[in-house]
Amino acid sequence: MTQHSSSQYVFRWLASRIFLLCAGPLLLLALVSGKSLVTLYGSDALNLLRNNMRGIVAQFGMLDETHKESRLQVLEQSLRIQFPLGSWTVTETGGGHVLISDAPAAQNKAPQSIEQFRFAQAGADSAANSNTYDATYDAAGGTAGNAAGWNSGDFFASIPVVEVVPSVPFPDDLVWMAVKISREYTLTVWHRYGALFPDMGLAWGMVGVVAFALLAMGFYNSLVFSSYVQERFAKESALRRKLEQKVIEANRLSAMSTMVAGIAHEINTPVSVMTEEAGWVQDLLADQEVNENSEKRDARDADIARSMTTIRTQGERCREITHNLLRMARKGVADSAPVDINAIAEDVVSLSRHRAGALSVLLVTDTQATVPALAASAHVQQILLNLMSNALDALEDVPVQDRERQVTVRTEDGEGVVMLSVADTGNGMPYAAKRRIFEPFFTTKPAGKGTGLGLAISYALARRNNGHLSVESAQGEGTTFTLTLPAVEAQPRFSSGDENVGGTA
Amino acid sequence: MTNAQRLHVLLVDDEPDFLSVIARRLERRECTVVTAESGVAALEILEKQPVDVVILDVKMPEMDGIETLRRIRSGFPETEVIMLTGHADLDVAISGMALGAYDYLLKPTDIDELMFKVRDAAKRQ
Repeated sequence: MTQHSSSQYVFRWLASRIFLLCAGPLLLLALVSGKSLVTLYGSDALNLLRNNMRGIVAQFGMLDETHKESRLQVLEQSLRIQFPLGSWTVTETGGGHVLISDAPAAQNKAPQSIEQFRFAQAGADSAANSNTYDATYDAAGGTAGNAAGWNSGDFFASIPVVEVVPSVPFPDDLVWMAVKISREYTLTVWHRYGALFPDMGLAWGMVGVVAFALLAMGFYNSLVFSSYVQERFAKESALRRKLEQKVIEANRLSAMSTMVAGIAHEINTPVSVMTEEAGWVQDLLADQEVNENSEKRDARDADIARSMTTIRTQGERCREITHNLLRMARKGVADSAPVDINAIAEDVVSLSRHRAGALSVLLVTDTQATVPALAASAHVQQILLNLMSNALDALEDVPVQDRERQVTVRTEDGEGVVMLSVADTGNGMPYAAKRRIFEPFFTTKPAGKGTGLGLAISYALARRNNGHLSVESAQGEGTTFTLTLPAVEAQPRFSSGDENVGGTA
Repeated sequence: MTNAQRLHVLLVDDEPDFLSVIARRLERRECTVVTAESGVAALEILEKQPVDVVILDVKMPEMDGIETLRRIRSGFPETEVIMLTGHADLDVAISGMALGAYDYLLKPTDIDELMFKVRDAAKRQ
């Protein structure tokens, strides 16, 4: 069932991804085609306006030039009829307005209109001067009533109308057109685009609806997509955490098992001695002839007593080892809590004594920390076991004659932190190795000896406890690893110093 | 008969308690036992007096059992060596066999078995 729903989910994710990939181009296409459609219809409307203006020019040319007053009156009349929705003005060349529409509202509406007005006028002037218009105008307009020239369609279409049209047509934008209607007069007309093309608002509205629908779908799909991605991330990080936990656990086991192998050996020796001593006692007791001689019996009893003392001593040695082990096992708490790093240091040191002894390494413990650290004791223990094992490995290659083999485990207080360092007198390591020492699978040990994970895991564990693991190394002098952990703040030491002294004694 | 003769055994181990008790028990089984607490001491003793069998602990500080074995085999080829080992060093003991040790025994060992091996080794000699 989960399989089914998850495959459905994957399909939805795929669909949303495809949609998101297409949404951008679709939206762009919608906007561009919408704009060009509106512009197309708008330019049809402009054509009408343009022709109206040319009509004015033709009509004006046909009026009697001698009656200036009445000519302007007729012009005003026809302007009113031709541009009922727009505003217009007629200006004299080099002078002011001669005629002006009653409804200059549109002019007020656009603050940039003056500039556009000037631009349109200048355009109309230069257009009129730059072609044959003047000559034709003179030829046609010079003779009143001669409409032959005006009736020619070619001439009509060639009357230059200067336009200022917004590049993206919106209903509230103004359209400017200017034309020179005679030598002395220029006509400028401006119109709301929306008035020329009444359905422009609707057209834009349609474009808007399509764009909005696309945007809304895009939003929905990106929600689907991001939730899917988030889920994948969460799943992946959970998986990684699980894997990390496994690696840490494996390292803990291997660190422990190395130590336990050493300890088993450590226990083996006293057990051998005890077995042999017991066997010796049996040997003595098996001696039949001794029983008859009291003097020999006394000697034998003394022998037996000596054996018993040895057995006891060796038994106590075993007990100490098992107690240490039990204490270690009890400290395996993986939650952050105040932890006495001095005790952990001493435990690990005493459990490492066997291996250190076999390598003739001198173990020195210097516990100066007075504040407990806030960390998971199991982690601190694991880190210290790793560091200790590394330090002993490092000393294996050091010739005894050259340098004293020594590992110093030191704890001390820092500013808000507690530090635990493990220093060996090994060969140290070069800078290149030091830089990579915390990388997973990096190892300086021969193949088959180290996994290269001990320090990487120790580093990760230190970070997990809000601490830090650093290394200092001088070639030929030794290496020091320092574990820094946050100290438990403003809290007196949970176990008093005397107990600690008692433990070490 | 060789059985009537006392066997000369050199016992090498870094644990004094172990040395003393094994020595006592071997003495009781018609052996003359010399003890050494390190490989170096063992070699010194071998220089001075001939020994039939060496019982050698594998794990010792300074000169370990394998190194001692190598030197005994090269310096005193007549002497047979029996290795004593804990479980953890079983591989070492087996590699010791390749170096010419007569046999190996796991600690803690049964004294009669040890005695048996010592006699066998002495016979081979």
